[in-house]
Amino acid sequence: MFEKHRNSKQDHSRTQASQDSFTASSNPPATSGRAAVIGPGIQINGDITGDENLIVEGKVTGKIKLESHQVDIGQSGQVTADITAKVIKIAGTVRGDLHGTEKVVISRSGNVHGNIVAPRMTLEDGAIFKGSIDMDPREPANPVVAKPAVKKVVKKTEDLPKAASSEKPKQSAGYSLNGG
Amino acid sequence: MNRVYSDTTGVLRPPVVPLMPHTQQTLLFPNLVKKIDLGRRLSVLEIGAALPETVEFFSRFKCRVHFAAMFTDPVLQLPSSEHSEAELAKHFSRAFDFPKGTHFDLCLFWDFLNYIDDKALQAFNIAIKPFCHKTTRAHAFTVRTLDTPFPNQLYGIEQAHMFKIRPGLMQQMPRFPKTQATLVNLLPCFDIDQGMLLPDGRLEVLMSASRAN
Repeated sequence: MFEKHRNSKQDHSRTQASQDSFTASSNPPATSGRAAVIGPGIQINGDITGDENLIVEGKVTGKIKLESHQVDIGQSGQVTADITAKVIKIAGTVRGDLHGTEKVVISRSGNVHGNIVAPRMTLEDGAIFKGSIDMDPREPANPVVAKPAVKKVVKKTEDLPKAASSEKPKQSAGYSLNGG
Repeated sequence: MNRVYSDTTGVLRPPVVPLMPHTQQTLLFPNLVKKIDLGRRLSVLEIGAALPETVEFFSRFKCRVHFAAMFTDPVLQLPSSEHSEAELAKHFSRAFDFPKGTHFDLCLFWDFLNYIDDKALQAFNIAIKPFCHKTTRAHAFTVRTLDTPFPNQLYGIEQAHMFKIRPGLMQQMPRFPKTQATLVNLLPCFDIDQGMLLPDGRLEVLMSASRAN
């Protein structure tokens, strides 16, 4: 009885190990070294989906969807596409929306025009970005509003003489045309 | 230390801001941050470039930040004299490219309003107004007097009371400094709530959506 139980336990652990190994090989983590590469001389028009990481050094127009993997757009990469991936790293040029389920990184050579949705976002010094970033930290924000150490460098406007009094008065209705 | 010095012409001028990244204290900006409602998604307009510290600062909030990158937009190169106010407003709207239904809680104008002339500012007012709501607040720099120098620089938010100042990426553009009174006249969708005179002669102002609108 005892032996049988022990064997059963061993069988179970062996099976579990084999399952883990299968899972690992069929669905490699985003950080694994395995990646498909679109070289600098390649141009793709269409959608890209798959089950491994992707490095783009060439041109892609369409959609890139690798939800549990990493997409790297290299310095020579030129992408006009919406990208969905676990981790997205941009060093090249992208026009399109980025959805990173884990994080999005735009490095110093990156140039992105589009909207970004990601729980974590890193913009390196020198990166160019135009668009919106949707952020939603898991923990509640706790802004530290510390008082500046030095106060003497400023002076309240109210204390100033009314230097601009010679300018024309406010025309409250003058420029709100077509504003909705 | 704020020192006013005399150049070779004998004219008193404020010190030139060094072209190295540095920080600048702000007494007013914390007042904006304090009023952020942490329970709801914040919608922010950054009129300038996306800088790492600004992204990092807002990553603490549940928010959507629109980086308009207007300093590099061709709309700034348009000669106002050749376009009507309505045409300029259309150019601004196209440059904004904000999704329909966007309403900003917070607008960060920095010194942008001093890089567009009066006509363009009126057009800007028309273009920005649909994206404001009754509790929209804004931050900007103006000048006390028209000869106040405006250094070519970019602004990031390092902390609520501290801006990170970086040298501008582009060549210095033509400047059209705006006094507080001019801003009140030409940007009527906002009222100025508070102002602080800075050592270099600029004026930091907090604004809120005009009650008249």
